[in-house]
Amino acid sequence: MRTDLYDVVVVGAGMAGLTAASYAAEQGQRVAVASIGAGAFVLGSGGVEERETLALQREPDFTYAMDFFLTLAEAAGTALAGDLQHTMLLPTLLGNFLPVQFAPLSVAHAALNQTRKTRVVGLHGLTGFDARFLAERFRSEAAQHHLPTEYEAITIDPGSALGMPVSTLRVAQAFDRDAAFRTHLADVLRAVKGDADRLLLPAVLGIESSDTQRTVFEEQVGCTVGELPTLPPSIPGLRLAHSLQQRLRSRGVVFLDGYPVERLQLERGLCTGLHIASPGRGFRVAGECVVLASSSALHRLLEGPVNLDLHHRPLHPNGSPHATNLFAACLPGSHPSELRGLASRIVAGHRAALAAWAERGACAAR
Amino acid sequence: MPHANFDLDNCLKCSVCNTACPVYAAHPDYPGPKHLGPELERMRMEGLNTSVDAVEYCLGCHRCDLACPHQVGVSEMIARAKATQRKPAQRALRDWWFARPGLLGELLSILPPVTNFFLQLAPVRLLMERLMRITARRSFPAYAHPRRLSGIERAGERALFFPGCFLTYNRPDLLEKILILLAANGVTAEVASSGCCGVPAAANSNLAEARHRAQATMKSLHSAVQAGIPVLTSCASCGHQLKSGFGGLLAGSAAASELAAHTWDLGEFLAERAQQGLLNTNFFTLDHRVAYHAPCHLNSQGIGRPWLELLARIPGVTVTDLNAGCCGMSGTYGFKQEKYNVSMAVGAPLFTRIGELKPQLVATECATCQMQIEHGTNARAVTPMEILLEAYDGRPF
Repeated sequence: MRTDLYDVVVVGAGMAGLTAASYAAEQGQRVAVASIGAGAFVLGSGGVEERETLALQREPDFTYAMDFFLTLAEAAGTALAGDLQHTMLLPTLLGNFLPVQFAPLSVAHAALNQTRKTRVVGLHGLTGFDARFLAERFRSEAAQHHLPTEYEAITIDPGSALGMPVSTLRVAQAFDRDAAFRTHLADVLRAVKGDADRLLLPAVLGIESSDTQRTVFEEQVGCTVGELPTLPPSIPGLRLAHSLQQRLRSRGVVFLDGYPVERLQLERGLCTGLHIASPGRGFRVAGECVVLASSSALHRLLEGPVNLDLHHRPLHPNGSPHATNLFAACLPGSHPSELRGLASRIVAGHRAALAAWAERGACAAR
Repeated sequence: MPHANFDLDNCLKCSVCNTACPVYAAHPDYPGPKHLGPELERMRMEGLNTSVDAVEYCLGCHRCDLACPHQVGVSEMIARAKATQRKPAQRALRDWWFARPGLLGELLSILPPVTNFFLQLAPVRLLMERLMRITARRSFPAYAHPRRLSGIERAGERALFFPGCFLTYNRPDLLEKILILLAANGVTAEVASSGCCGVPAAANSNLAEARHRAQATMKSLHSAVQAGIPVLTSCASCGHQLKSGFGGLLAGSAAASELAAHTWDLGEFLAERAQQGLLNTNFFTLDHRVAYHAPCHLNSQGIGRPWLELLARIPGVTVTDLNAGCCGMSGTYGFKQEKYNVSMAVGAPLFTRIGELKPQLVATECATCQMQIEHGTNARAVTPMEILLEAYDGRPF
């Protein structure tokens, strides 16, 4: 059977997997990412809540991992705004404000601040985003924070320009594909802007668009445009995933998606291959190092409770590592499925990739 | 296909399938795989009438299946719904023929010069558009006399080559080249006598015909499988069908899984030999800047992109992975008058990417992807097999 060889094989294409793959790829290693499906990005806003950073601050490498990720996201064209000193209050679909530490630029533009007048723009036909309800709730929340922002609701109808029923995905795809639609949307928004300093939209400004493209769009509209993450599919999450995947592809990273890694080949303390259960005989890949960055794969492949040693290697119940070149992207002491937010996944992915890199160095030295 | 083992309840309605669907992005009225698959499936299971014309617009690219984090067999549900969909008479007649490229090939290749002459004539094409809803905006591939080819004897390994309809009726010259290519690698390949693999039948909502084709194909390949002779095919859709389609059509068939385990995509086969040090690497140095397009049915085989690896081994060939999604042709789909615009809109990102890269050649193993790329761009599209053979014999194709 054919076995494709890589320096690092990452299992899982969620945030932990993409972070681990990015770290390895930035070191110039040959990387493959094997996954079923596309991670949980459709559910996410691409941001990090304050409660998560508070919980993670005790992790010694937290700042280091976040810095790595912030640099990466910016280079990929989907920068995150924010830092550890300042907490933003970001509006949600439920009409409240959430304390957030890091968020995609356009999402951060929606933060509660000194802006004088904000218009909440609903899209005609889009369910799950009620501009009038939101404007009313934001107004009262802002008053409670003694902030001067006025919120008003307005509804536009991009569906007539698209010739299709509105969904966030359809609008975002049209934004990506169709320059005429982008111009049309900017014109409509400029027309309804009135004397407002800022517009808040459901997040629809493209899955493949870059920060630069969205800045150009803002200039066309003539004021700040903030995005509110919506119900799935959430565009900012997808956008972040897409930009990271594109960057990985441009660095020669191979994605093997659609079929699960069915078993690991473990021989004499080494992981010598991974069997992917594609139709027929399946497919084998092997890596000098293997990073398991999916909690379901971790549980499926290594039965029983998963504990890690100091080098982030999963351990047998008897206390010895399954393999010296097998690493897991989960935080020590925590159950893998407890990786709840983006930042935990970034730290875990970064950590496992760093451990794998150290192991490669140690191997080379030997 | 492993996906079929997973239950409907695994669908969490997360919409990842919609984000992966090329038709959803290109066609305003297409509700997307989430709705046509799992959502309506619940109604269909209850025996409710959920007849909706949109199921006809599924390309069968399997991108939704591959994207689903919970391995729901989305496209399978849509394919079953499609098979029960009633169509207007003209389209039904057209699809009856499109479901049978083997029969069509037999008839049209009796007198290829006459066939090709008539298929080019504008009035004939307009008439086909009127009577059978086959778009006049595309030209049909030229037909040729099928050749009775036997393997070029080599001392080494034996294989059975499954040519598929396109090589048999349209490109027997390419079929011959593939046999030379295999001989150059010490493999004696006989050509299988099987007819169509049944993908077009399933795509044209004729599951009975698809099942019939599956049985006939399995019968024709049976002795090779029993003898442990590898079955090879260069057509990504035939490969997909032999590996996972038959398992779905003939549920629980042990022979189908046996065949699946004995089927190799030609690229996969050669890449495997390359890893074993068995690939003939007496290459001429070429001078090609190639952009590679992976057909959807190669992606759905889950074997990576072996031709990328093989082409990169040839001195003087630089190859870039286009990675720009589905081409939109999907076999007979792009020929259907009502689907022509959708087909071109699906392919638009690929055409744009090719326009940006301006490669000397676009390589793709799928014949209909090739047609679509040449129809939608100014690029010349060839198969990677032809490039590899050129590296062996030094003769430009």
